[in-house]
Amino acid sequence: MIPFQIRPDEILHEVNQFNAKLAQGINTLAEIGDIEVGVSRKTPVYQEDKMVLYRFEPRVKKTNPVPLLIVYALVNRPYMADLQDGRSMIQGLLNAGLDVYLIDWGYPDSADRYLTLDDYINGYIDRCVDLICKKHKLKKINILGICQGGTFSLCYTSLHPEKVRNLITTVTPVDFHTKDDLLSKMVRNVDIDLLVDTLGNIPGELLNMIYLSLKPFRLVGQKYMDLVNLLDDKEQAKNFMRMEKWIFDSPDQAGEAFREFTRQFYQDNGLVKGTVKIGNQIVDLGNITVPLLNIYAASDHLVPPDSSKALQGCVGSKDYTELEFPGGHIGIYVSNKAQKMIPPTVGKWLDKRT
Amino acid sequence: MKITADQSCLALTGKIQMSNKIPNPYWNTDWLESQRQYLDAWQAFSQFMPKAPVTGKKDSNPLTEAMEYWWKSVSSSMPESSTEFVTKMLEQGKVYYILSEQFSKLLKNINEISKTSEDWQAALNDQFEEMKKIFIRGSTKEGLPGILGAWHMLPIDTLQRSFSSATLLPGDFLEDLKPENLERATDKFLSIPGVGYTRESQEQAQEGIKLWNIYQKVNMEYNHAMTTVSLKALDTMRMKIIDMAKHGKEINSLREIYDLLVDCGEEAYAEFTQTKDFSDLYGRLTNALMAVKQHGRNIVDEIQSALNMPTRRGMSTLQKRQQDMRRDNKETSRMIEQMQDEIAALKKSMAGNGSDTNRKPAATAHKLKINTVYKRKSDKKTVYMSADKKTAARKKSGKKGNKKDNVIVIKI
Repeated sequence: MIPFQIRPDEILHEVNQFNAKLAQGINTLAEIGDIEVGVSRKTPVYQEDKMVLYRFEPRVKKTNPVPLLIVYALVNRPYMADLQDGRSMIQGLLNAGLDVYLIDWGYPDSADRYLTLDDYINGYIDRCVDLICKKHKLKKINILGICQGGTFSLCYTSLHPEKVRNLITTVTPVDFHTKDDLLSKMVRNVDIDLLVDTLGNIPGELLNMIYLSLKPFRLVGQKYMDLVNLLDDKEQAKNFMRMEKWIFDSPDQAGEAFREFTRQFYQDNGLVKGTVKIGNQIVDLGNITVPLLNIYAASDHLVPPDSSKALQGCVGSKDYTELEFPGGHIGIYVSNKAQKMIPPTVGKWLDKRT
Repeated sequence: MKITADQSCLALTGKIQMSNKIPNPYWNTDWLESQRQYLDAWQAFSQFMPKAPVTGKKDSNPLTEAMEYWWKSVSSSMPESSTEFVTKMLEQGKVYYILSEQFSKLLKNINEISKTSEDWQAALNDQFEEMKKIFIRGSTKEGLPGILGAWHMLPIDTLQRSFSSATLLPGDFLEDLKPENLERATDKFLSIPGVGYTRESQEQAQEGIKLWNIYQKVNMEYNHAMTTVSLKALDTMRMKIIDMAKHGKEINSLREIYDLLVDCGEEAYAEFTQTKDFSDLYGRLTNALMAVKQHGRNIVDEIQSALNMPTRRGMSTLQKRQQDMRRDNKETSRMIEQMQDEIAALKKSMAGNGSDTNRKPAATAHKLKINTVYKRKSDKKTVYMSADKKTAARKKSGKKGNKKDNVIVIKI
């Protein structure tokens, strides 16, 4: 039997409907107004250059006495973890009784072009940790790393194990040479010195487009076709636009840090080989012996699960837990499923170890 | 609006035989008339919005043309934040229209031929061949944007835009300089040795054109590879449709056809991007463009330098020095803060032992060694602090005492 069970007039009707929805949808978009992001109340407690350390207001009376520092990636903006009411990992963590701090890296400009990984990890992160420790009169705190922030957290914990009590990594790349890592394949043969020396800072727009080109048909095309069906509902349209805002809100990357990260991690796969050098120190993941919760997404197209799961074989932690989230790289923070699964698990896991 | 014979091919007569649904009462639908109605509908809608000048080329698909006409009329009234976003949706709308046109043709052809399996597959093959031609066109500047146009040119487009600021010439200017046109014209020029007063600038220009030629060649190679991916996607789609027929599966909407195309596109793209060839090609493409841009940047620097203006190279030096100084400042601040803490701890300790920490410095200062693990382990800071003479004497004589009185070891 011929599979096409559709008549030309039905195709015509479908196109007609599509047109009508599109026209209506554009009306909706025109009325949608500003897109607000970041819902949880927070206070800046420390600022250095463009980096700001925030502390979120607790949502429960009794909180875990050991604060949790969230280290976000340099790419995109951290409000993804606090996108909107009901779609906020941070809200969930606060509900789970955690005292949450977050590092917001800001938007580097040409004056930040020579920031290195040493500046980020042994500088900014370390000073934030010291400040939190001092404030809470503690020697160690808990750290949660997001994506590249997870990789930074691993480096930090390896270099400063005495300051980390428990470590949580989420969708964190560890092995950068897994078979299905397209991002890694794209940069493998790029002359990174020529790139950084020519461009200085790496434009955020370039990164956006590289991410889109990982799944071009879906991310450049199909996604917007799906949106047409959502546009008659203003709230759904707004949710979509909120996500869209986050996706394309990409700070430029400080050139030197980008050079080091791309070469040492993506090209040389140095984290698993034990060759990554931050400042004058070698990052040895074997130094990490703290309890470790490694959360990855089963359908992650940016950080393949195998890349994250490689962590188990590299660290010295005896208390190692892995959690697979049935979703993608972004869904792990914003989906309804994630709200029910990730923050409560993190809360309980930390409670047991505090 | 011109409508070609091909575009009006759906003004069909006769019953649909290939579908097992009820006969179509609209089979006589005039496709041209329907499209005119859509155009009217779009125009009617646009009357509610402020007008903007309408320019631009005509597209072969009337629906696409109608949508473009409408969009150009209303886009100026849209909030800026939504404009780019809506453009993306409209691009996909165009793809949808093209698909509707193509598959309507396919259904018409299938309807006209006999019902044997081989025949409908032949019609399917013919239709996919036609689609391939459209998609190949879509890989050129003149072709249709959309599902292929948008992603197909993605890396190049992005690189061009991102880096055009770093050269003397804007990206758009260079875009039309294709190697096949350029090579013939420049071969002679490039072979002339640079001499005389302008030798250096002549050599620079020659070098720039050489680099641009290299980039354009790799660019074409990349385009070719992506076109191959597009064609592979269509082949995969055709095979999947045949396979669906074998297994009695149905396609019941245009959207299902679109989704199938997306799946096949991703499959073909993923297959190619997993290869070493892709990694190599992508690297060469980026490197070739960077070489052009860096060359352009260096020329700009030289011109600025000649005009006694700040150069990018100079700025870079300044930025590096500034960052080094900033790093040193941070480290110094950290050390001072640490030492202040240590001093506070020391004072507290001394106060706990009954010492008067507010007393004037003693005549004899005692060396107080603080073994602090700074960033570099070799760093050891030595500070001099006033201390009680008696405790100092006790230490000097080797008598036992409370060592905390005079030697404080603080490990950080």
